[in-house]
Amino acid sequence: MAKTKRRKKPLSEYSTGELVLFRFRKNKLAMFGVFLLLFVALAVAAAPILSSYAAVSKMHMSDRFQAPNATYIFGTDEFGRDLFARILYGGRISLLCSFAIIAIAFVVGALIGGAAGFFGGKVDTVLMRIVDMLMAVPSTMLAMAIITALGNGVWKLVMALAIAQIARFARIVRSSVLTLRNVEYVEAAKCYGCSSLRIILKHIIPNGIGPIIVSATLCLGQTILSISSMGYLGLGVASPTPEWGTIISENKINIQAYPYLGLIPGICICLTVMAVNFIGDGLRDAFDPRTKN
Amino acid sequence: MPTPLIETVNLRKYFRTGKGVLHAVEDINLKIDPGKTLGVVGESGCGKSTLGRTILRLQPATAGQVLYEGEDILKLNKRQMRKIHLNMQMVFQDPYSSLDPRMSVRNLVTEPIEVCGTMKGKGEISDWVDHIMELCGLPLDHANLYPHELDGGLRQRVGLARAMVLSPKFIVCDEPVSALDVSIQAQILNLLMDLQEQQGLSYMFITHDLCVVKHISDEIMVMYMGQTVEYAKAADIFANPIHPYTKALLQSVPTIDLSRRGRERFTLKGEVSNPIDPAPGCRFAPRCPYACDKCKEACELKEAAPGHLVACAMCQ
Repeated sequence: MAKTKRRKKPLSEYSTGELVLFRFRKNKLAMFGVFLLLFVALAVAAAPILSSYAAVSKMHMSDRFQAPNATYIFGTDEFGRDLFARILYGGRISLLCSFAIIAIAFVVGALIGGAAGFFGGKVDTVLMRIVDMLMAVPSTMLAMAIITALGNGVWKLVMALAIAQIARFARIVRSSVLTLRNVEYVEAAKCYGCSSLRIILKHIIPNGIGPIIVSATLCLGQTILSISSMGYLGLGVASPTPEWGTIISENKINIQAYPYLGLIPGICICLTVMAVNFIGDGLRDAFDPRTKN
Repeated sequence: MPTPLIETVNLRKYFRTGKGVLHAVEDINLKIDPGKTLGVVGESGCGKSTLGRTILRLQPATAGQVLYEGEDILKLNKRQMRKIHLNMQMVFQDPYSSLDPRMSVRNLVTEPIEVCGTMKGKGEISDWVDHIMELCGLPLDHANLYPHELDGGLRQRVGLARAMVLSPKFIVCDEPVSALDVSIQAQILNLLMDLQEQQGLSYMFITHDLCVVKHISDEIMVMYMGQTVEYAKAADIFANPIHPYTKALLQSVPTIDLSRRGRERFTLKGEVSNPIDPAPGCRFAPRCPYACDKCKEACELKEAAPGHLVACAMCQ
């Protein structure tokens, strides 16, 4: 009897996960972000179909500084290289690396910050002093030092930038865990025998994830730019290997005369960052049951 | 004499602070029999909540024993403690912060059973949760609502259902009605008493509200700065308060009895003194109108009348 009563309510048939998805789908801006990011990701993935890797570095000396036209959709640079091909192949590095960097920094930072906040005491002191040491060095300097020590290469760049970002995530996660650790519902959970792991997974993460997601998405845009500033300094991804930031920096002398050289990769970075920010906002709202269904 | 369900022996909880040692709970001895309610009364900061949380081992005790059916639970390891916790639950003061805002009512009530693993099978769990929700006066169509969609009274019912779902024998109620409207307070108190009658529960009822405690308690313990000052049957405390602090508390209750109006009240002056490294002797002495030299020495809890314990050098 009681069961049939419940089933009558359509909402109750959804699990929590489905409800989160439901709320996310209703968020138009977030769905726009998803499609935008999918579009960029698909275009980048389809690079060999839309263009070819040979076109990335092939110079057409007769076709230098061509504004976007039918042959060269995005135009050409000072060596007559096809900007379209460079953007597509460059996007692969930009997207992959920045997501990898955020993912690594997020996971490691969350583990360090989470452990420090949850266990407190000596664990907290030791971990946070290590984080302080990381924070004392400006992140660009730190990344440069790490690359110099490890040597050049895309994955070494990823490691270096990720390590440089860990401190910030550790700090954010620690502070939200600290506020949640003494909340009464966590205490109630201890009272009915919840293990620490379950408390963290079921109560602390869902309640503390909002600001962390937002900060991670904001961080992503910055990371794309850091990759390119590293490239500009000749560390990590260096010209002629294309990467969105590198494309801007290698064309910087000519941007005034040929603005599309800066605009096109700039717009690509902006669109990606914007898409990710919309998704981040949408995720935060979707995880919060106080948002209307 | 049967073993009491809960007993504490010289239970003590100190907090180390930067300024010294804060004596939050000092040598508390109490006994709660099965099916009975002990009301713990005192002003805010007197250590009554700390006492409740220490008994449940939500924080470690500094010294003393907590006996559950005669067994010292402070010595148990985590796994053994988990079993004891099935029988000892807590209802929290603030119905807003004590429920996880990201969980629906059903999930909130179900989680304790999932965690303790005494019940297997989704159907069995779901039927049991329905039963408990009904018992606690929660409409079943509220099962998929979230805490922010409920009013204070319903939230407190969820908090109670979460405790009740494990079928405990003992519940610490930490000011469960002080955050609620008066009309809803009565509903929750009646619910608590109904549950006690049906399930034979024991409560430790922490409150600063004497009207509430009169309504529900069998015995009352009055605390002042971490110590017991008076401990007796509820009726005795109200009919014949002995300790000056208890008298002051009782006279501070507003009355609508016209014959008592205009009578001079015995009110307390001054503030609670500092609980950090307190001086020996009666802690209430600085505010007590009857204080004399005797009060500078430590006074023990003694029987002033049969079953009526008082800690006051002047009254014994």
